[in-house]
Amino acid sequence: MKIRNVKVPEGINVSKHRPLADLFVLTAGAIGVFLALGLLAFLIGAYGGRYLPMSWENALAASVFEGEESVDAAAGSDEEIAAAARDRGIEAALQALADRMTANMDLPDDLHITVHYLDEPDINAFATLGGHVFVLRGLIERVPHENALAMVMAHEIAHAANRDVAANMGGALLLQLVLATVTGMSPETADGLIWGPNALLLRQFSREAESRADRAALAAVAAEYGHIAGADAFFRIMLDETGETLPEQGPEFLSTHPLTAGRIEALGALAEERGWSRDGPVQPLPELLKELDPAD
Amino acid sequence: MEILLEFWQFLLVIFLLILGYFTGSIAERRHYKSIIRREDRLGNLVVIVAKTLPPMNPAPATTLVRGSVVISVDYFKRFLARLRMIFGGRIHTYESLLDRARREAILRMQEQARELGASMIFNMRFETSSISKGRKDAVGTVEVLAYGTAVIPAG
Repeated sequence: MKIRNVKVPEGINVSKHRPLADLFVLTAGAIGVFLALGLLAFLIGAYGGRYLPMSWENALAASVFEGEESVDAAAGSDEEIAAAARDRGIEAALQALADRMTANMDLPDDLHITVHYLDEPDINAFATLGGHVFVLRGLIERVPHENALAMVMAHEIAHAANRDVAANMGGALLLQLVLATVTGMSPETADGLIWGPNALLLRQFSREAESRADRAALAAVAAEYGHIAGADAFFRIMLDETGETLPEQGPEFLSTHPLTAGRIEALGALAEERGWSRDGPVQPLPELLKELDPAD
Repeated sequence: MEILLEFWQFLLVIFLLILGYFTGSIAERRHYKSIIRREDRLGNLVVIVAKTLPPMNPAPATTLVRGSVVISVDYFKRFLARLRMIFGGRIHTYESLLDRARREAILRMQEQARELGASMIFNMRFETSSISKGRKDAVGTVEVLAYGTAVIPAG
């Protein structure tokens, strides 16, 4: 019997393959699955958030805003006390305007709008959970008349009424959960990614919400004043401002709010469609608010 | 800041992937070259898995010979394998790891047998074990032990 070793043949136990192509396909697949999962989580969360009972949202908001007075009446020097009193007055004037707008809007039964005034220079207003709407000093300084301010406030109130805030938070929360679970990153980091400057998903989502809020707000303005003159004044101001500094921030897809020029056009088209008058007298700002305007 | 930190970790992964890909390929190519060269040299020292020897006269001396080796895959292959474990399928990148380990173990066993003046090894067996098993994020490392009975002709 002749026994011998055979030469080990190559390519049977080790198959030929291209590892880099493999890496590419598998990575792309994994990222695709991951993105799909994230999107699904966000949509489920947003849907859930939107249909969460209003009372739950109110309870959550109450736990956040409990004991917090946005205009602090803390004792201090006479000047501070005077400033606090003035801020309370501004807040009351804003609340009165908000109440007039909500009377013309379709709000969930147990949603109550609470307006807070913030003595900050940024041109901004925003709605948060439980119908708490914040208006910043910088915005009041820029609006030329009450109609423009009413439009902006009605827009924020519409966000609360449409449950956009709850939807956004619900979606972000679930997305954060998925990010943290799948990648093992800390919830804080996930939070940063979601709300950070590159959060395209959130932007696209909120762009639709913005248009919806715009339409509801314009309807409220038309109902309150009988015309929509001046409603887009604030957008026009923003257009001028951004036209100078940020030349329209690139493609619309990347923008949270529909591009300002587009918004003005959309509002005009809506007014046309509903037959709202574009002309009419604009109301001056309430005295306390007018005083904020440095130009006066 | 934390996002930067996260990116730093991401960059580290990319760096390790590139490093692993190049060093891993070079190491593997060299190893195969050495394996094939030594297999040619030790080809006349027969290794079989039969349990019994044909009768020989005079009776030869027999002794245990063994060769063991520990081999690790590089980061790149490990990464690819982990991805593959998500979708399923053959993990090509681990095939060469095991192939190299088994052939190297046989070679070491043969080298020991040759030093003892053996003409053949019978009843050859393998033991394969993962020595990184259960350790999180450990790069796949296997130990392969080849052992058998060396036949040393009498006189």
